[in-house]
Amino acid sequence: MRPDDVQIACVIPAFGQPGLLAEALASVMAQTLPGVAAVVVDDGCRMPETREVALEAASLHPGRVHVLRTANGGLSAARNRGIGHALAAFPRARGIYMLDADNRILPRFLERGLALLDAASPEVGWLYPDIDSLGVQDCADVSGEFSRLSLLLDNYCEAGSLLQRGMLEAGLRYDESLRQGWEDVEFWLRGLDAGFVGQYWPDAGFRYRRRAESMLTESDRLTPELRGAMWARHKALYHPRSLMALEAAEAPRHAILTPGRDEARVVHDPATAAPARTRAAWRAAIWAAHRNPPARHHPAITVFAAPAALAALRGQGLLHWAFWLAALMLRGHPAVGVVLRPAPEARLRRGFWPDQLEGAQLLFVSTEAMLRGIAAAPGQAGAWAMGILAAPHAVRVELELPGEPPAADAVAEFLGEVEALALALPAAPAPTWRRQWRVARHEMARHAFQRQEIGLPMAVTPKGRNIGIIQPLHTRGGVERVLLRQAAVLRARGWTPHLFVTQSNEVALLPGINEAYASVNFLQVSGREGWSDPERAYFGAEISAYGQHYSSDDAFAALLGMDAVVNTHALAGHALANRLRRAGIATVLGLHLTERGPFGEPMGQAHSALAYEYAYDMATVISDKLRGWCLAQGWPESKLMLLRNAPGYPSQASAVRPPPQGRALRAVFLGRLDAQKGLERLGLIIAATQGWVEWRVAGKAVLGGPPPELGVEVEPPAESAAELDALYGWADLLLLPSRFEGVPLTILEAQRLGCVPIATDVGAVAEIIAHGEDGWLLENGGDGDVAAAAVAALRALDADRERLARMSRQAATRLEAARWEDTMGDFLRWLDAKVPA
Amino acid sequence: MRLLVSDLGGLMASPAALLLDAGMPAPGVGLALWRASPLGPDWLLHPEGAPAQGGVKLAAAPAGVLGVLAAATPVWLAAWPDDPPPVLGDVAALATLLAGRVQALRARNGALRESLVTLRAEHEEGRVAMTRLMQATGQGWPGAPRLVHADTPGPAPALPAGRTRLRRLLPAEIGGVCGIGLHLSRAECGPGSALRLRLLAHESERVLGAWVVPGEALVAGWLALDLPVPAPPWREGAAVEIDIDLMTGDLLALPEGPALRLFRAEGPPRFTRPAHWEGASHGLALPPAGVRLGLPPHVWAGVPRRLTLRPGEHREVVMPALPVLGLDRLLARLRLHGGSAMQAALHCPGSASGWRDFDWQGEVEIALPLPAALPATTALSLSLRQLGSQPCMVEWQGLVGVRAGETAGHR
Repeated sequence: MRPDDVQIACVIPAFGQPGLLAEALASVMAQTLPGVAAVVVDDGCRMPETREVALEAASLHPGRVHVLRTANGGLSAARNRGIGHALAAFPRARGIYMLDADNRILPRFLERGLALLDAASPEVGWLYPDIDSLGVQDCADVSGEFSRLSLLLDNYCEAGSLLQRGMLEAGLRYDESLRQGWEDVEFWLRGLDAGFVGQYWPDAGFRYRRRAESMLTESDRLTPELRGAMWARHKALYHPRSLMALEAAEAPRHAILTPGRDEARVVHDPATAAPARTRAAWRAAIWAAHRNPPARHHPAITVFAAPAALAALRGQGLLHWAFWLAALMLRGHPAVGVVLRPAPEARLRRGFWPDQLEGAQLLFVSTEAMLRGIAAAPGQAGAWAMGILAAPHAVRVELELPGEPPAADAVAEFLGEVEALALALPAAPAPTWRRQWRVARHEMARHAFQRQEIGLPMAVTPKGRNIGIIQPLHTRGGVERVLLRQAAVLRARGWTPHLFVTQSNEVALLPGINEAYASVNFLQVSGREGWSDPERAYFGAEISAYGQHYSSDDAFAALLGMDAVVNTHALAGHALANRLRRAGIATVLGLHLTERGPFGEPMGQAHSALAYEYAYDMATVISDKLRGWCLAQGWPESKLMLLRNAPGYPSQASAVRPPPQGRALRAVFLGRLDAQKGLERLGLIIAATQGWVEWRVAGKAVLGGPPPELGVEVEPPAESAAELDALYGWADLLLLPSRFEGVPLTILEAQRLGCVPIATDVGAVAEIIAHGEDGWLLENGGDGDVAAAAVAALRALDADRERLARMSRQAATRLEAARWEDTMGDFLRWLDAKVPA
Repeated sequence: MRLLVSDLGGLMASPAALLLDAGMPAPGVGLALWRASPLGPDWLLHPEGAPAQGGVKLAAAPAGVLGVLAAATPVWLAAWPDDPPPVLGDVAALATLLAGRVQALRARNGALRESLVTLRAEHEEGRVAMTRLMQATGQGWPGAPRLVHADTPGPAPALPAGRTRLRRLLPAEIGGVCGIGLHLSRAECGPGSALRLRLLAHESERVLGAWVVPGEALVAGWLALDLPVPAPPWREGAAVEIDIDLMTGDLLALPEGPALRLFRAEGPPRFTRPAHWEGASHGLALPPAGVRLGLPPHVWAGVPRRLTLRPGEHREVVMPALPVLGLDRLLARLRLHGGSAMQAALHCPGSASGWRDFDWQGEVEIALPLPAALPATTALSLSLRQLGSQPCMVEWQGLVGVRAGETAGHR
């Protein structure tokens, strides 16, 4: 045979198998396909008969058997040498087949393979057959569309695959440093990196020799080490973001069935559009997948939901989180219903417990559980379906959100669909007689994440630059308003901010929240985020135990769509920060204040954060004082950034006000009615100024119980810009006798409108009040002393109205230029450098 | 050491070659000779007599090299530090080496023969044991087979007249299969029609069961076909190939698919005497479809390849025993020397090509379809008739068999 006539060259590395090499060679020579040559690579075999057997075959089949010798370099080196020779010696060979010396191929094998290869698209780099064993009998099915995700889990592409010439000419070779096995897996991963894919080679006729002990059983024992070697060599492929993209492309999680419509949409990200198929086509497809789950995919979750229900979730930024929560619940339950209820005030609230699902607008069902339930007794499918809709099988999720809830039609639709699925149950047996051994396609992503100790990521397709703002709770406090303003600036700058709440079941809907945050997510699913580790504390400050709870794997996974995260005061956030940083996500710690407990003991996030310095790329602080504190604690200077506060809302009012002449002074307190704010002091001040100061108090208790009696009627909290403008515009003075503070927004907001603050000198308050010029500082001390000092200040200003007017003008002038876009400048530049657009 | 790409095949596929160092005279021995010539800082191996030019690097000595003919160890041998070929000072040293090789090969051949004898003895014992076992286990009543695959018959179009081939790969393993059912929706056929069904091990295309059912035995409903013994426990998929020869006017309708049932023997062994069994095909590896397959040379024994016919003469040439198992068509190629008014025809039991004319260049290729009911070996006749006025000579140039592919349009 002339070299130009060779269509396929079989490369056979030979080391220590002379008896079996003859069989392998004979099976190559017996191929029905014309133009088949063998390249035997004697890998420095110490048995001389290996070479003899090969040379005998060369004598018997002139021109068809090439025998190469090489110093022993291992299987990969021998294969590479054979490939190089075959490419050079057989210029028209279209494929190179890799045959191990102890395996065999049936006579029609390469005839079928070449026909398939010639018909395949150019990106198909290799064809892989079913793994039918010789010796220890086992026939393993590898049918189905090629899946990258599946390849990361199971090496189902036999080393005995047919390689397309183009892929080898592109330079792809085996890794010669892998000498203990898995060199074939690694080779396929290189193929993926180079843009090639595999293709199933059905009914090929490959015979794999399986013995009690072999190189394979040896490398099976080394699985953990070899798996580590794969990860180290293909970091990008195994990266969580890559796994997320593979899941979306190859194993989309959801089938959404619209009540009353003959359609089913298979989508991974529920916010994306997908072509609708008929229910009949969908039923046929999922039953087919049920018969051979490793070969065909059906979405893990079937969702019954009307467009209005999806829109209601989407409108509040809850869509992805709700789908994620349902998927978590479906781990232990076959059905999860989501009931949407109108919220009595501007808030989001969630709760869940095992219960019946009546009234659910969205129903999530485990597709596999549904198919199994129906297949077990098709005649009783309806009864089975009713059974899973009640406790303890079903989980009821209740969500309170603004607006009228949509129609509750999910349960009825589910019951109808179950009956239709029972009728569509095919009679045919499983489509293959070979052993199904690979991970089921709808389980692939879960396994792939689990191997890296990653829980369940959200079903999102991240676009642009995403930043997660992590907070333990989201009420109406100052920190929430600071973060909201910062999120709005980030959004205007091209980032997409997402709010993650780790502890609370509620999110207060502050004005502008929907515009600033693209999504709202509750992370605490099981376990309490606030649990500190009882065994360990950092100089007495608490360390989170959350990282040891399994639900932290899910919280970590939920944040994987982010490019950056800012953790502000969430203990659970600390526990996740280093894992996020290692996943390539920029981690930022946002510090607002240092606190002390009732006994003066150091407490709060600033102290805990010191234990997690390693986990953060950057920390932002709101004051020079806090910056100095961090430096003193040993926080690296280059990982510290000053991000000063600016007023917490955009004002529409004018700072110009008439001088307070001919009437009583007006003073206001606004904010949380919590112990931190020094309410006892406020009560004493109000009592001592009755008759000559007019008082208003607006706010409510958030953290503790009801506030003490203050002697004036408490107004509800002012939230909108107009309400706040009106309050600051009305008052001449703001009183803030707090026990501790960071940089209160209230002071900045009051100053902007010429309302003069009288505040205790705590935290970094002195950085925003120049005493006697644009405000009044009170020395912090006992309640009586502070109250007396405040009353004295009020008397002084009451007596000198000119001075008060001057201070008012100075405050307004100084705050005129305070804008978030400016205070965040350094931070935005740092973020842009860390995560380029 | 380097080698031209075009020489890769010649040297690497050579089971015995001798390398010559630069300057060594070429010995007159019947071996492939490869000369090492300096090429810049490197060396090149090239066939003796061919010019030296650049090539690819050779990392190790070619496996088939017997030795290097050189006055002293050549410097270029240092490129192959692992197991270098022996250096031979002269032809006498080569003769000594070869004599040693012959001795070693004889000893190895002897050892292989001994192991073959051992294997044959083991095989014979195995055959005896298997026969005993079958006799012993076959004393009980045949066990009831288990249905392992069943199709629901769908719409059934009537088949066209002539040959139809259908093929179906079943989602079942071949091992242990002991019976097949084929659904015929309608059957009104005479003895001229026939149905042949083959049960195949799909991956190897080996026939594990074959049945030929004459037209008059075909009736509507499930056609049950048993195997004499269950299929061996091969780990391959089960496939079914159906050939139908339908006479014009006969009617046979099969569901699309076609609809099949598959039975597997379990428990006690099951030996049967099946109807319509066509034992000759058992174990046959079906040839690839569409490929022209040469027939063994012995079929030409006693068959004249050149025949001279007088004007008006009619001649018949017979091949009495042509092996046609697995073939669907024969193709004969004839050439006419002198004259033009000549016709030729092929026929076998149940099939005839009809008279065919030679083309203007004096050539004709005649195809003969082989009926499904034909036995494994058949007689083939070539008929010639001279219609002209001049004697002329016909040369029977060749005869090949072809296996047909699946009939399109009936899935």
